[in-house]
Parts: sequence; structure tokens; C-alpha cells
Amino acid sequence: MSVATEAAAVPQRSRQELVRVTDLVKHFPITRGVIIRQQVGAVHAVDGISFTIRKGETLGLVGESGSGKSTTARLLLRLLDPTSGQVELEGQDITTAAGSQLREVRQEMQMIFQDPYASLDPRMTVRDIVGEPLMVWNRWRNGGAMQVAELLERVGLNPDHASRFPHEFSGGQRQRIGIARALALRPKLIVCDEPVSALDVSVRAQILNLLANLQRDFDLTYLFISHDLSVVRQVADRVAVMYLGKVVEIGDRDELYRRPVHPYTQALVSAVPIPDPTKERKREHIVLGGDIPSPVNPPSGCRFRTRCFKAQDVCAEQEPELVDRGHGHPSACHFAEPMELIP
Amino acid sequence: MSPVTRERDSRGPRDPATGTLLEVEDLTTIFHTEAGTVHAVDRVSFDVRPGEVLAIVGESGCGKTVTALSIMGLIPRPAGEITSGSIRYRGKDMLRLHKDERRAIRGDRIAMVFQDPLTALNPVHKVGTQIAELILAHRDVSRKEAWRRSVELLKLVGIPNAEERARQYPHHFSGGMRQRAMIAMAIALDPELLIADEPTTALDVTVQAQILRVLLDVRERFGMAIMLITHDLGVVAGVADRVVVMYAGKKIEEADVHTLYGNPKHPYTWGLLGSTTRVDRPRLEQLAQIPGAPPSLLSPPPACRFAPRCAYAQPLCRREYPELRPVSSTEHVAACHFADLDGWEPGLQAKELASRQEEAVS
Amino acid sequence: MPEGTIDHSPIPLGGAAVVTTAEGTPSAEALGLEEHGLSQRALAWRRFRRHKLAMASLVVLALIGLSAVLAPVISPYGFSEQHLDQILQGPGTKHLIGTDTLGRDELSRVLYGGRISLLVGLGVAFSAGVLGTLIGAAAGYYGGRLDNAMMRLTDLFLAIPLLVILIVASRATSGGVRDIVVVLALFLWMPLARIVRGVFMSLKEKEFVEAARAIGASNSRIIFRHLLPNTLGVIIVNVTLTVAAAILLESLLSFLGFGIQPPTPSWGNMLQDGRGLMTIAGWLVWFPGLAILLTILCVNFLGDGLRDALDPTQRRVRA
Repeated sequence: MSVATEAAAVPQRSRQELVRVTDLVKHFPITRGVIIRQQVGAVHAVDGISFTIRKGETLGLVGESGSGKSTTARLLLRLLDPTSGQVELEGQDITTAAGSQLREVRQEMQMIFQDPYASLDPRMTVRDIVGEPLMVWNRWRNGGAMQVAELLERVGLNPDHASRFPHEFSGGQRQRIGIARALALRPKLIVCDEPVSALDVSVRAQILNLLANLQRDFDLTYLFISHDLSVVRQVADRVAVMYLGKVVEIGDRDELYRRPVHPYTQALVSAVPIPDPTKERKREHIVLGGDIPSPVNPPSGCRFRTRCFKAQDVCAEQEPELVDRGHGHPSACHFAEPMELIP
Repeated sequence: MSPVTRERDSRGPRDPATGTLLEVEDLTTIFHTEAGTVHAVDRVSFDVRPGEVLAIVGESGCGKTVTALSIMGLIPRPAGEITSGSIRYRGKDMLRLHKDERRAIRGDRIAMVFQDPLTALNPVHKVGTQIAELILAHRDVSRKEAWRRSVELLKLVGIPNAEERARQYPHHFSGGMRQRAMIAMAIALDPELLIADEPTTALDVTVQAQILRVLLDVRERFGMAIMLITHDLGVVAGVADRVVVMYAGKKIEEADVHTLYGNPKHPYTWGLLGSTTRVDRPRLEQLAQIPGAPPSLLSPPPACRFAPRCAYAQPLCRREYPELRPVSSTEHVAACHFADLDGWEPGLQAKELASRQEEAVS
Repeated sequence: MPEGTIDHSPIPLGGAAVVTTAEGTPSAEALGLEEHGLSQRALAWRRFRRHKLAMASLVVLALIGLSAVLAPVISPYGFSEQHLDQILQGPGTKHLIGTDTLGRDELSRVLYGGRISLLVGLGVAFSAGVLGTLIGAAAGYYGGRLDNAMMRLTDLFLAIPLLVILIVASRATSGGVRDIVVVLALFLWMPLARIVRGVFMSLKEKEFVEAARAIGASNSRIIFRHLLPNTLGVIIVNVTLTVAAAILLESLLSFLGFGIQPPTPSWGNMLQDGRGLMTIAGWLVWFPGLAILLTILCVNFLGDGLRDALDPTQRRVRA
């Protein structure tokens, strides 16, 4: 394979960039002391990541706990301030946007949250919840209630239920309410933070189908965050794998699943069980040793080396860069080698 | 260093000839609440054979956890109540036994592992101490011996530096390690049956793989049976011998694992399998989906509980409850009026539709 | 239904999926027990109604309040009207609960005294409530240095002993209701500030607040539209209980002579007046004392009932 960019390997129509993230870093300081606070360390939640999201596509962001994927989502939406790095939306640098400028930008990007029970204000009616974005941006005046009704219908809810309260709905329905709210301002980008993880299996498919339909109807771009690789395979066009604050592999969805090259990706893919007893029992399973290191003190060099089955001395000395090593998409491993783990 | 790989063992139960270990018959557990009576488990029967892995699968609210709690005697009274049925362990009905006899079985012969390790692990005691105390309470050994066994158990479940770790408190352990410690505690008395309630749901997927391996290792080593409660169909496919599917408090299908995945007869089972996302399948334009949501257990649908969501529902389904009936063999039962009809394959058309979509996309 | 359709049918209400808590006991609401079509307020009222003692207390307090409001109308005499020919009479037909050393009718004094005590109680609770909420909300929401400063201020006020309050009260006030209310409010706002701060800090992290920020809501909108309404339950409970504390404190102040000055009656200063004569004219002490006791008991029961009704952490499956 030539040293091709991801775009060339993917049979997509050429799309423009919507989001560009460069060397994004977020360290949460750990302080001690009551009167005078001293910083004694930092949680390296996100430690220098770069990626782009093209208009109309879905970028899947996978990782386990401590990977930094949720933090990345919030950095993108500027719900958190980056320690360093750059975030660009449609070519515009929004890294340091603040105040009214930031609030303007907020109209273009919205979020769907993980917990359908905690992401809706229990004291507001559905109409108020879905209509709040319109209220905030003074778009309520011309037929706000009608817009809310339309949004509810779009997400598969009965508009007559708009005067009800969140606790009267099931988890799946609440998630639909959250989706309707995210759509209210007709944003360009929607960050989906584990949108189906808290839902029952039989309801997940409904929501995933809904998200796919809405993407098509509203020309949306998604950043889809999940720890569940099977879900990401269904929704994403491209996938980025994060470990301890860094992106270790990023590429076209099917390529990444069929022939992952980074040992962590390989371990992840092999660890996700397949609901087919024959396949699942015949498979090769990579079982990692050890636990995920603390993001307060990440290992030197390659962060994954403490659990990696390929680790050598060089891994402790030199941190591998995220580059294409001849496999068609970038990976961050000195010994990247494709492996097929899905029968 | 090559990756540590392992092919999952697909052998059946170790000793199929010695009869059943646990027989649950017609179990009904209800809860009295402000709004009425909730029938969490409604006349459920199944058995667990020695050495096998029986998976109880269902979504939240199906009653699988309450079933496990009923077996372990953890149903809070007076809010909860087991109103009928029997739970026979090696022939003895635990619901009608004397308190002491019951205690001799629960915890000793039957042990439980929970989703949240902090439930079983007391945060103010050292981990090693907790296991040792448990051993001391049921076995006649010295303190030193109990401690030694405790450390050995921690080693067995794969905790590195077991000696040191035994002297630590639960909050020093990571999630995966806590789960291992809980398993160690559960197997401390060499139980014959281990009930694991969503043991890996709260864990990262790489850690989940580790824990499942521990469970299987332990099962092989001690020959114990495992009753695995989960909603994850992938996990079940990987480790179970037989599967019971529950829905809205009822058992709606049961079969050995290959039959269940290959030839499900209940529309819900099929729907669940069809709508699950999979790593081994390219993207579908639309996932098969089951409309609606699981019903309220306060006032469940009158006859077949799945009828309101079922694509095949007929007036009969809303009139008469479909009792479990054998399908291809007595080992495979399903609670659907059409399950034993010739050529019945729920979602046959839908399966074709799905495979056609697969071809189009790949 | 054809594959891939979006479900348009309204889900049967109460069809929520069951979620078990860590202990395995299905929580009441999670069992699909959502009440149909009711707001939080209506649900709370329903829960409150179940608390018999609180309901009874509500009725009693309503009566006490009513009698206090209507004191000028229903009291047989004026509160400073002296009948020097009928001093120290026991309960009888002319003076239902007797007279004091100046022949003033006890019943009328108790009624008017109730006015004062309740006025003070409500006034203090309201002022302390507003003050405590403002400080707690600012500290909890903004955090950082503001939080630090507010909390140190709270600690400072908490450290002031009652004795100092009394001295300040006696020096600085004229014994009028307004001054007493101010002094007592300054003594009673701190617990609520702490509580509100705590609730705000935990609510702040909730996803629905994050969601509000994500849609571009301003800080003030978040505070007033999202955080305060969700704190209201806690505030109401606390304010109710503060009423009891305030009435008790006012009685104490007046009893010690620092509070409401005669001839204006307050239950507290009536106790003071009657203290020395307890053995020969017990009614001078029993009735005001009973009034204080009854009022405070009822307010406390009411507070309990409100807490059960409004505190979301109290939802549990009942037998």
C-alpha cells in the first residue's frame, strides 16, 4: 500500500473538513493545600492528539476508561478549556473563543449525552427542554412551539406528550428527547457521547437507526464516542482509537476492524465478544495483562508498553509517533503489524 | 513475546450423569410498592447441572437479577416476597429448610459475585482479612491457615503480588482487581455453584476478557457450575453451555448455546440477536430493531408479554398465554404459540433482508 | 412492523425499564412506577399526604396562623387592657385562661403574642432563607476563591456564640420586631448556605447542566432556571425548620429580656413575666409555654413531612 492518506483509501466523495484538532492537550491540575493551593501533579487526560472530521462523516472515537475520549469531546465543544493545542471549526480557530463569541459558535455544535436520566432537567417539561436552545437564542418567537412539535415527531415521539416530564418516559424515549434538543439549533456537528451505552439492547438499535436517519436528513457530522467497538463498527466511517490520552491508531472503519495494526487495537478487537458461539470459541483472543496505568503518571515512551505483548526496550525510550507505517493509515507503534482477529 | 491467546473450550459439563445441582421450579417473586404489586419473577423454572455454565440472558427488568437474589435469599422483606415455587439444591428445598441448614448451603455451597465489587467487599477491612474471616466462619482451621488460603486464592485469580495485596484495602484495587478479589472470596469455600450477576458489565472490555478467563479457569479447576446473569449476548456466546432467555419476569426460551444462536424460536430472542451490534459484520443501512420498550411489571400485558412488540402477534397471542413448549427437542423450549410449528423461523424474511443489505454494503 | 421503522406509538406509560440498584432491590420509580401525567409538585403533594402527622400539623398550624391573623377580631380584650380589679384570676368565664398581675387578659395576650412570635418566626426564616441561599448558591456555583471567601464568612458567623448575640441584641436593638428579625436572621442563615452550596456543587456536575451550557445558556439562566428549581425542595424544608428555631430563639431572647419589650406581648416575655409567679398563678406560664411547644412541634412535623415529600433521595419501596 502506498503512503496514502486515509481519504484515498476510502471510497468516499471528497469532502471538506469540518473540524480540525491539532496537538490538543488537557491536563487537570492536582492541588494540595487549603489557603494557598499548590500544584503537585496533573492528570494527563488528553496528551497531544490530532485528527480531522470531514463534513457529513461519522468519526468514531473508541477507548476504555482513562483514554481521554470524553475529555476530547468536551474540549471540542469548548465545555473545557484546552491546556494547549488548537481546535478549528470550519476553518475558524475556536480554541480561545470566549464569552459571546464562544456562545455564537455553540450554535454550530451540540452534544448528546450518555445518561438519559441525568441529562434532562427533571423539573422541566419536554417542551421546555427541547425548546430551551431556541429560547436562549431568541428563536422561540416565530413558532417555537411548532418547531418543538416537529422535532419531537422527527425523533419518533408523540408531540402531544410535550407537556410531560422526563420521569414519565422510558430511557430510550428520554434519549430521543435529548436528540431532539441537540437538533433544535440545526447544528453542523453533533458530538454523541456514548449515546446508547445506558440503554437496553433492544432499544439501542432504534436509537442508532434514528441517528443514522437524522444524519442523512439534516446533513449532520458526528463525532461518536463509545467504549463499545461493536456499536462503533455499525455507525462510524472512520475510527480513532485512544489509549491514555493519545490516539494510537486511526483509519477507515472496515480496515481497522479487519486488519488492525496497533497491538492495543488488536487486543480491543479480539476482546469484544461476537454473538456467535462457533465463531467466538474458535477465535484467537488476546488477553492483556495488568491494569490501565494512571493518567497522573503515564509510562515513559509508549504508554501502552506496560501491557503490550510486543514491548521491547525501545518502547520505553522512544514514544512512537502517529504516522502511516505502510499500512494505509496512521498508527503509533514501533512494531505495528496487521493481524486478523475477526473470523 | 507472542500474544497470550486461548481458544475457548467448548466441552460440555464435566459430569452430566450426576443429576441436577439446582432445581428452580415455578418460582414467583413479587414486590409490594407504593403503586401496586410488581411481579418481578413469574413462575420461572430451570435447573443448573454440575459443572455447566448456564447463562440467564435478558434486558433490565426481565427478572434475571431478582431470580438470583431469590436463590441467594437476598430479597428484602417485607417489601419483597417469594410467593410460590421451590428452589431445590441437591433435592433439598431451600425455601422450606431450617435457617441453619439454609445458611450452610448459601455462601458455602452456592456463592455469588455481583456487578459492583464494592457490594461484597467491605471498605474498612483489608481484602485478605475479609476472605480469611469468611473461611474461619465456615471451616475449622487456624487463623494462620485461613490467611494462607486467602493469599493463595488471590494468587489463583491472577492478582500479582498477592501477599502484599492481601494486606491492602479495597480502594487500593482497580475495578478489575476488585472483581477478581470478589471472585476469590466467592470461591473461598469451594462452592459447587457460583452465581455471577453481571460480573463484567461495569468493566472495560479488555478487563472483561480477563475476568471471564478467570471464571472459566476457576470453573475448570474446581469443577463448579456457573450461573451467569448478563444482557451481553457476546459474552454468553463465548462461555455458556446452555442459555435461558427471560423477558418481563418470564422465561421465554431455553436451549443449549449453539441451538439458541443458530435456531431461535421465540421472536424476542430472534429480535435481540438481530438487533445486536457486532464487530464481525460490516455496517448495515438499518439495524433490525424491536419497536417499543419492555413492559411495566406492574401491569404486564394480559397474555403473551411480548405481543405488543411482536411483528407476528395474532389475536391468539393477546388472549392466551403461550406456555413453554418443546421445540426440536426437550432441551429446547420456547414460549410462543408458533414455536413448534413446522418451518417456523422467526424473522426468516428479515434475515434474508439483512443478508441482502450486507451484500449491498460490503 | 417493517424493519427499521421509527416507533411512533406512544409507549404505555409506566413502561420504563427496570433498573436495579447496587443492592439488587428495584427502586420504586425504576419499577415503572412513574405516576402518569403528574408534575414533580403533584407527586410531592401525594407523598406528603401520606405523612399523617405532617398533615395534622399543617391543619393545626393553619389554625394557629388564622388565630394570630384574626387576633384583633377574636380576642375578647386588648392586650394591654388592664382590669385592676381582676388581677391574678385563674381561668374562668370572664377571662378564659386567667389574668396577670395587671389584670390583663391572658387569652388576648396569648393571641397577640402569637402574632408576634409567628411574625418573627416567618420573617427570620424568610430572611435567613434568602441570605443563606444567595451565599450558598454563589459559593457552590462559582467555586474557587469566591467559594473560599463565602465559606470562611460562614464559618465566622457559625463561631459566634449565642451569648454574644444576646449582648448585641440588647445593645443594638430597640426591642422592635424588625430589629429582632434582623439579629436572628444573621444568626440562622449559615446551615442553609452550607446545604445549598453542597446541592449546587453536586448539581453543577450533572449532565443536564452540562447540556444547558452546551446549548449556550448563560450562567444566570443556569442558576435560576436549572439549579434553583432543583434545590427548592431542600430550601423549603430548611426554611420550615428555621421557623421553629426562630420562634424558639425569639422566645428565649424575650424571656431573657433582650427581645420584644413589654407591653407588646410575645410568648417569650410572657414566660418571663410569669416565671416568678409560677407556683401561685401557673396559668401565666403554662399557656404561653404550651403555645410555644405546640407551634414548634407542628412546624417540626411539617418539616419532616416536607422532607419526605420533597427530598429525592428518600424514594424507597414501601411494604
